[in-house]
Amino acid sequence: MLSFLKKDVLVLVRDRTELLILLLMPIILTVILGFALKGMFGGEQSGLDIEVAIVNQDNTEIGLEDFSRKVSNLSLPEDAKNQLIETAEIAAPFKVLEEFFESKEISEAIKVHDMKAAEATEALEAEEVDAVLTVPSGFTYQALMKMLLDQGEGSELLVEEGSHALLSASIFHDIVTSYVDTMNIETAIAEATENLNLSTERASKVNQTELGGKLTATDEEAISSMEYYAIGMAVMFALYVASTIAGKAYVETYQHVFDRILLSGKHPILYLSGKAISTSTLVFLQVVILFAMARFILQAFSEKPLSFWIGMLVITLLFAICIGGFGALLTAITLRFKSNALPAIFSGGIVSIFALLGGSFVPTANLPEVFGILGNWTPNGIMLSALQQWSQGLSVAFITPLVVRLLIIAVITFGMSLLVFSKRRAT
Amino acid sequence: MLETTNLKKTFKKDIAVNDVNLYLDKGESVGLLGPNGAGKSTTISMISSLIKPTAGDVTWQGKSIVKDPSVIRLQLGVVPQEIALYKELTANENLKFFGRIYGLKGNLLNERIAHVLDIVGLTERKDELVKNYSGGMQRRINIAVALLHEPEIIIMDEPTVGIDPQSRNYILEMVQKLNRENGMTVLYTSHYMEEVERLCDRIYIMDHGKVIASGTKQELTGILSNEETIVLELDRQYPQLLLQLANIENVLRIIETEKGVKLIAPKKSRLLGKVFQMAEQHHAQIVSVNVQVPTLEDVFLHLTGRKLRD
Ligand SMILES: Nc1ncnc2c1ncn2[C@@H]1O[C@H](COP(=O)(O)OP(=O)(O)OP(=O)(O)O)[C@@H](O)[C@H]1O
Ligand SMILES: [Mg+2]
Repeated sequence: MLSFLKKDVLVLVRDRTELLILLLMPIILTVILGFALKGMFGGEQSGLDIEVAIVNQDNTEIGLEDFSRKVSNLSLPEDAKNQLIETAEIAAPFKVLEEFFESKEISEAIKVHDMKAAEATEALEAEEVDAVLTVPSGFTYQALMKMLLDQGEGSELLVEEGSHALLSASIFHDIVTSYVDTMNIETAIAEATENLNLSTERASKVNQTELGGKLTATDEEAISSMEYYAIGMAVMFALYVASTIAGKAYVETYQHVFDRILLSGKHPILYLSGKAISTSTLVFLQVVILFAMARFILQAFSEKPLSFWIGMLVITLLFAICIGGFGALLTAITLRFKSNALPAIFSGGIVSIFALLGGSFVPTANLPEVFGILGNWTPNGIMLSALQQWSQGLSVAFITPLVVRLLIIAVITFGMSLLVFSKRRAT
Repeated sequence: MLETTNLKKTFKKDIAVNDVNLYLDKGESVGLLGPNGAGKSTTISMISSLIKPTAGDVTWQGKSIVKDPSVIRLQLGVVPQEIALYKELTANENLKFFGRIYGLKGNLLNERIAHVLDIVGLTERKDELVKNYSGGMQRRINIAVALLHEPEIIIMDEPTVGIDPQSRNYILEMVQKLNRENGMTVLYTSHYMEEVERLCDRIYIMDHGKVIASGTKQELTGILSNEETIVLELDRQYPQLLLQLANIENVLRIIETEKGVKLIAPKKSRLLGKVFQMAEQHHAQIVSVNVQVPTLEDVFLHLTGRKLRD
């Protein structure tokens, strides 16, 4: 069983895009939604439509070439060199940022325009754009040197904020900050306007003061929009783990490794249970990492006591077990019909529906009542309510029924997966 | 040791395998030869208990594996036709995983991994991702995984398709060694006649789901012992000449080759005179003439009227 888990984790970790989606996307969306929908939490209402100019003075290709050349000249084993160069190509900082801006969710909120420096300044003055991001020449090379070889000073991204649209600009600023932090690039973000070198101070100031909106569900402590979405996005993206696992199981069948597992005489049920356990473990790790990022990068839940975090962990564990049931069910259906249509439908549509019903995008209190009722039976909806109530200081007695519901869903989904899976051998 | 009786598999209406009877004795190396779609892989899947036969039985040391697959599983190594590996993992990680699911662990697992890596000659490159391997190396690791649990019998489904001659040669030598030196029983599937001829003590020829001939190489070519093959190489093709040659009374079969023609005729039918005469009439330049004893390829041709491969 442990070998199945180890293998599933390894396979996932080798898949960089999948990892970025599961870990980077939710944190970025938390930032965006946390700011954009602050209005829902009692603050000022504002839609999100940020116009940004990007002045790219760097050439990624040349940067990569320079870096490769530098690596080739190092006295390292050939394998290590290739590994470094490959990593650089995948993680080329500006390329990743660019891909991120082009992703569907982000491109709807942020419009990016490529401009020359002079054009951008003009556009900023004319209030056509809200902020200007300047990528200095040599950025790719220097960032890679610092990131991968720990040499040199790293590089700086320059964010210039227009004074006409402070909110939009500061959201953008924050996204870039979180990108830099998550990519672990040793670069700084400098303010081109008045306050040079105050970047970190300003970033944390943004985090602490701008998170003004508070949601008060009870008379107890309130939860901030950033905290709400940290939970909302984590529980939503946890659902993707289930479809990812089922998708990988599909690869296992068409690449015939599944046959090989059967040939070993291992009972197929063991394989299915392995998928449930892998899903649960990955979800647990993912949610813990996301909460840690929310805590340390976004300064959410910053004044909570240890007992709060222990409760969070316990609830997360039960939630992870529940999603494990979904992972097994999706896997069973995928293998039964020898088609990866279901994981695709699940990740392409069902997750979004669940997320909407469960309140990951907008608190269900702000939606028609039926959403909340249905959402109370989605694992993410239950988890969101449970964590929200827990962080508002409600007692264990309030949360127990929710948690029991998670376990019931886990039992039902796993039971169904066994049923579907046993039908498979008949073909 | 291993035997199939009237093994049959139908998919919907298509009969993929039809009444196949074959057996393997301990230490034997047996070939299963047949063109694409002959039903080789389907037969193997039934033998290895991955799919259930529509009719018939497979027995291992007298026990039915259709009823209870577990009687053979640990004794059997299967090399699938496809590269059945995790491409995103390294060779070593693949071997570790598959070794563990066969119940190997600790030092024993490490020893076995080192041993099979040595057999397939990939010890040096075990820590590279399988997806970065060449086709030949992927094939070799595909075989290594099947050897991990030291099976008594190994079934290989076209283990050399689509790879370079060197890797192919390496694999053939390896199989030969496993069979001759380690006494491993081998069932080797291929559509390359030369491979089966070189490796196997006995051969089954399959076509359209049926075994159409079986025996040692001598027995099989013996089917054509009363015939000889005349290989005529010309400067180019002469369609009219071909037609005329086909009409010679004694010619049993005529096959167009890349540069010329192959005639199968009864021994001592003294056709050469006529052949030269006709070539003259068509102003065809004869580059070479060869009278051969039949090969397995010719046997297949004789039995089916088709070539093994196009
Ligand atoms: N799962 C399946 N469903 C329907 N038909 C199948 C299935 N598997 C095999 N067949 C059919 O059965 C026949 C035999 O296929 P099989 O794969 O056993 O041939 P093969 O001898 O291994 O050929 P190749 O040399 O191409 O591997 C083919 O006509 C194939 O289309
Ligand atoms: Mg085949």
